[in-house]
Amino acid sequence: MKKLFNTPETMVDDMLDGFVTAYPQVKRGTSDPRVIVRDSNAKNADEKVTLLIGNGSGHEPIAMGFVGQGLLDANVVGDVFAAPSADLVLDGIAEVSGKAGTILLISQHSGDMINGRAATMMAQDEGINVLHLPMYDDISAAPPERKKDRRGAPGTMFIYKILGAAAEEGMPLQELFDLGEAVRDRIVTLAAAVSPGVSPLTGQPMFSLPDDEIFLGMGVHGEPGVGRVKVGPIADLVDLMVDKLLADRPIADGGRACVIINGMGGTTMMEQLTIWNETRDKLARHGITAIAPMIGSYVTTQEMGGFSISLMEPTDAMLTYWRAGSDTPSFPSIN
Amino acid sequence: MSTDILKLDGSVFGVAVDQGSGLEAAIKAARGAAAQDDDLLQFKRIVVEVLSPDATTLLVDANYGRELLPHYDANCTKMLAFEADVYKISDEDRITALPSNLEVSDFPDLGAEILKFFLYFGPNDTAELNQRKFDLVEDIGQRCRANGVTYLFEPIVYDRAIPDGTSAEFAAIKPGLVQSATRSFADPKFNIDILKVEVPVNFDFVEGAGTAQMSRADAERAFVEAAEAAGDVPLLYLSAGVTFEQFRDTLKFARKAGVNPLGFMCGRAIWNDAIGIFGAEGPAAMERWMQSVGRQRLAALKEAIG
Repeated sequence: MKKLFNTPETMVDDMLDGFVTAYPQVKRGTSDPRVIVRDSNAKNADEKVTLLIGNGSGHEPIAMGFVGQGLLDANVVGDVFAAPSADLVLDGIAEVSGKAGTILLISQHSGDMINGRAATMMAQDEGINVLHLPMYDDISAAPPERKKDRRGAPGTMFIYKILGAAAEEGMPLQELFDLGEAVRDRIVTLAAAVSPGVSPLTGQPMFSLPDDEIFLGMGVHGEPGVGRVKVGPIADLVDLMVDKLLADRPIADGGRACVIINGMGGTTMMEQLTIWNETRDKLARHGITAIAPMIGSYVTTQEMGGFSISLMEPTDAMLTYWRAGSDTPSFPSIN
Repeated sequence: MSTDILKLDGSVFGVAVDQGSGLEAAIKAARGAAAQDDDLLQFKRIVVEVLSPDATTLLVDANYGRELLPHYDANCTKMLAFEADVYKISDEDRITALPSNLEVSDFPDLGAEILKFFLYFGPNDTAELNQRKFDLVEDIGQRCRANGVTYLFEPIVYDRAIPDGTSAEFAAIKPGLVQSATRSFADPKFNIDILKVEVPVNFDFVEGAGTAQMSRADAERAFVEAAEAAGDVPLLYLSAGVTFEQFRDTLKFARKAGVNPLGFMCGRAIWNDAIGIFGAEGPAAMERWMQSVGRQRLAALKEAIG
C-alpha cells in the first residue's frame, strides 16, 4: 500500500508544519512543538477554564483540528498510534493553565490514561489547578454495568464541544467538570467497520475481514469487535445498531437525540448522509427526534472503511452549547 | 495469575521478535534495491511460523501483533508487547512510549496470554523519576490483573554517570544495578508474574571469557545475588543482542553458578544472522535457514539451560 509521506520519522512533524501554516486559528506552542495551541483568539487563562487533550496521531482531524475558539485550548500530539508521554502532556497543561484552572480530557485508552493521569499528578504537584476527565462511550467495549471500562469513541466529540462552549462562556472549573461527567453519562456509540485502514508504521492492513462481512463494534484502532454481520442494505445495519444503542441507554418515546455520524476515513459523504437518513428514520420509529447532527470524517483511522453512530440525549443547556458557534480548523457548525 | 498459563512444566524457552524500527532498518539495508514494503512482516512471520512449534512462548510487538498472533503454533503461548515501539523512549527520562492502539483489555480477545512491558531503569536516578516509573509499572500491573493477563516486566538498567553500557566502568557496577532493579520490581505491589532480566555481568570483562576485570567466582556470585533479589518472582534471562554462542555460554554459566531461572527469552541471538540471508537470498532462503540453524539454536539453548 502506497502512503504519501516523506519518512516514517518525520511524518508527524511534516503534517504539523502543514497544519499550523494552513490554519490561522492555531500555532505551535512554545513549550514543545508537539503542543498545538490557539493562535490569536485565546482568552485570558486566569478568567477562562482551559481545555486540552493528548492523543496519538493518525486519526486526524481529531483532535488538533478542534483547537480554537469555543473548543480546545490545546492538543498534545503523540507519534502515530502512540500516546503522548506524560512529560509532553505536562508541557501542554503548563502552557495553557491559569488561575481559572484546566481540564485534561482523556479519551479512554490504556496508554493515554496512564500518561494523562501521570501528567495530571505532576501538574498538581507543580501547583497547577488541573483535573482530568476520562471520556468513554463505546458500548461494545463493556456492558452498561461496567461503563467505566469502555473505550473513548467518536461520541466523545459531544464532550469536547459542550465543555468548550461552556468554558468560553465562563463556567467555573468544578461546574465544568461536573457537566463533562453529565454529558458522558448521556452518550453511547457503536461502530461498524467494513475495510481496514493501512498503518503508516507497518504499511499493512490493520485487520482482515471477508468481503461480505462487517465488523460490529470495532474500536478506532481495529480493536476486536463484538460480532460480524453480513453485508446487506444499510437500513438493516443501522436498524441493528440503533436498537443496540437504545437498549444500552434508552430514550423515551417523545424524546430527542443529538446524532454524530462519523466516517472512519474511507467512507464517502454519500454513504454517511445515507446512514444519517436511516438513523433519523429509525429513531423516528421509536418516537425519538434526531436533531443537530454532526456528519463527516472527524475521527479517522487512515483509510479505514466504516462509520459509527453516536447518540446523546441532551438537556436544553447541553443542546445550546452543542449548537454554539466555534472557530477551529475542522469542527463544523451544528444546526 | 500464576505461570501455569505457560503450559511449561516449569520452563520457558521463549523467542522474541518484537523489535520494530531498528529491525526494519536492518532488513531494509540488507535487502537493498530488492526491499519490499512488507519485508518486516514477512521476516517476523517466518520466525513465528518456524519457531513457535518449538518455543513455549513467543513475543511479538503491538504494531504487528494482530497480524502475527494467528500464525502461532497451537501449543505456543502468545506474548504481546505493550509498547509503541520497543526501545522507543519519550525523552531523557527514558520512559517507554505507550501504544495508543492497544488496550490491556484487548489481550484476552486477541488470545494474548502474556503482556510484556519494557522499561529503562536507573537505580541511581532521582527518587522522583523512579517513583514515576514505579507508578507506571504498577498501573500496567493492575490492568493485567483486572483482565486476567500474565504480566512479564523487563527492566534494562543504566546509569547516567556511565553512559557507555559496554565499558569496563559500567561492567563493574552492572551486577549491583541488576540486583537493585530486580529487588525493586519483585515487590508484590507491582503484580509482576515474571521478571525478564539481563544477565548481571558483562562477560567481556570476566576472567576466562574476556579481560579479567572480574573473577569467575565474583561473576558466579553476581548471578546468585541478582537471582536471589527476585524472591518468589520467577526470572527469565534475555539475550540483549549478544551472539548465539555468547548467550548459550551465559545460560550454562548461570546454571553452573547454581541459579535456576524459569528459562530464557531469546531474540537476536537466534535470528540475527537470518537478516543477512533474508537480504541476500530472500524469504524462502531465510525460512530454510530458520528451519535448520534457527531451530538448532533454540534446541541448543534449551539444552544449555536444562
